[in-house]
Amino acid sequence: MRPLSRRRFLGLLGVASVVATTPLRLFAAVDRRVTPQTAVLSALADRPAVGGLDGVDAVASVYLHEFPEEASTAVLREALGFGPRRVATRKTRRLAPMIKADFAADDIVALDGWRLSRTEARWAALVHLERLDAG
Amino acid sequence: MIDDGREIPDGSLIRTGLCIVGAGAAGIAMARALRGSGHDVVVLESGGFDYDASTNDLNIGALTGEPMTFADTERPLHETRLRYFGGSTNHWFGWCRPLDPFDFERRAWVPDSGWPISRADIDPWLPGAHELAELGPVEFDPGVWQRRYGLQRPLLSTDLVAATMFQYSPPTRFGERYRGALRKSEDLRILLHSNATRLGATPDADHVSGVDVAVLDGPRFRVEADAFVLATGGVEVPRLLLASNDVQPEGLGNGADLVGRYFMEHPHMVAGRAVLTRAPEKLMAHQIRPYRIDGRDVSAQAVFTLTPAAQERYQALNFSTFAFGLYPAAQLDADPGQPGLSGVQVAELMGRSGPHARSVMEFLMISEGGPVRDSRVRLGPELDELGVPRVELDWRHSALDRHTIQTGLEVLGRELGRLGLGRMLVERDGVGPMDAQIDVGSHHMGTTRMSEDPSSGVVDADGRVHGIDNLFVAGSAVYPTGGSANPTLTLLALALRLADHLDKRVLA
Repeated sequence: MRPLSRRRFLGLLGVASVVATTPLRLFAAVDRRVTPQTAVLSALADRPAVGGLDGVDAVASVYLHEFPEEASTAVLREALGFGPRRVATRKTRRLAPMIKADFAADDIVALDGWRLSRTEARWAALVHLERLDAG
Repeated sequence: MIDDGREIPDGSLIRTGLCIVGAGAAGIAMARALRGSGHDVVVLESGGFDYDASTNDLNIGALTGEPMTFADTERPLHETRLRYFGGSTNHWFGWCRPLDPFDFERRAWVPDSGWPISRADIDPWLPGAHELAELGPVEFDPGVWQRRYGLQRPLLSTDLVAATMFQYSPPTRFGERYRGALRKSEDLRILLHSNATRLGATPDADHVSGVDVAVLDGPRFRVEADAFVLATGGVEVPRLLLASNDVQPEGLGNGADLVGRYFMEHPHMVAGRAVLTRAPEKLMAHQIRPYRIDGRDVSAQAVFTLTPAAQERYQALNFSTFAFGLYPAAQLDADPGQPGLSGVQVAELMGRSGPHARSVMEFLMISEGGPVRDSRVRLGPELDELGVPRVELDWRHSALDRHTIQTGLEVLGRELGRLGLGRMLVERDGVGPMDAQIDVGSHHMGTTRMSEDPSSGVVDADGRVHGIDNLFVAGSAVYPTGGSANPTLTLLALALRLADHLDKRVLA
């Protein structure tokens, strides 16, 4: 039997569909359940280790695991509307309204059960990747 | 006066105006309301003034449906109700809030929803219900509590998630609290140790002629009355009706096969955790604490509910969320948390991209349980010590129940994020509301549901059993839907309303 990946599990629960633009889509998957045992085992087996990391690196690790197609500073900068010269860590105040707007639009990501705004998760991922680039 | 059924001569006939079966919250409320009305009232109480195991064992029944648990402990049916004077108020916790006006409405996404009465019909009786439960003012608007009683501002109240108040009875033990006053009443006779075992009806089953009464290891006698009220709760009321089957084989009042059906509970679940930007000392509105009102302390707290707009938007039932735990975010360091992202890490993220987290709130959720026709109480093959069939309770969840709990947490998390107040953890270790154990509150509702049409319910808007001119039901058995508030306050108001109806229109 093909193991149930964490991403697949979240999809079954309906919470991976957090990019949904309508609230009804967000909560639509009521009857698509997996057993708790299956869920826990697959979640533990497929989870990136984030113990000991600070909040930004931890969130980034989980986000990039869930959305590997965004594991590029260029992709993240474009998604966040950041220009090429912008230093991500110095512009955090301007993120607050974007984060609130994400929640208002249900553009919410589910990471290890936490509901975070897509923007703050992407921002964490960008900072994380730039830290890696900086060595 | 209060008499002992064990001293009634075997084979006696007692004649009265009104016979109330059951001296719990509803029965005592009605008896107290009818004092001095000029009507002779007899109240039959199964037990005495104290708990007695052999009497309470008359409640033993089988659970054949969903498991009934609370805090990882099974709740046997006979332990969820108490057969002695005061009934289950002898062990209730006193949580009180009336059903919301929206709870009474028919909701297109909730099958079999809709009451034949509105909240406005019980509002006149809420002051009396508050007095009985020794609550504070009939006021549940946190804004009013802020202005008048010093409530702190609740964390949030939006178009989707509303803050509302719960009040807490001391909790009043109705048997102890009202025993003295009832004892002094000359037109009221309470018979202890007196178990109703069967209702006798006329050949057309449209009138109850009397109730057979049995005492454990004691006499048997009969009470005849102009009117009867069954006030024994959501399990024992259908049991007595179904067991009274000598005239109507399917059970008295059960022509539409609805007696015992639509059994409802309030699904309870401890789930969800939020890291919040407000310090614990700024969240006192969400903790149970006393407020000094009119010279006495009234315990209360603000809770969150889904607004009618949110219920409609997300096709959910009603839902109440309590701050089950509240502590400083610094204590997250000592929290082993879950294997993945920790609360500390999410708090750190908020510190980098928004306000710092200052506290952690954990949630207890009480959801409305949707009505399900096949969720039911029925008679089993075994008989109790008095020869009455024991019940089988087949509790079934509504498909909406888990959806509602999940939705409630999701929407609360959404609003916390939107307002910059915090972040919500919905699933822990991959297990969230869709999979976690659902607990119960021992709130037994719906088994003689109220309806305008006899084909869709057991009692009418007055609580009278359809098709029977002198048989009434008091208590949460009549709830067609149960909202997300504990049932006692609303059932007290309904009992007072029924007492008034009997006084002015039936017994008069």
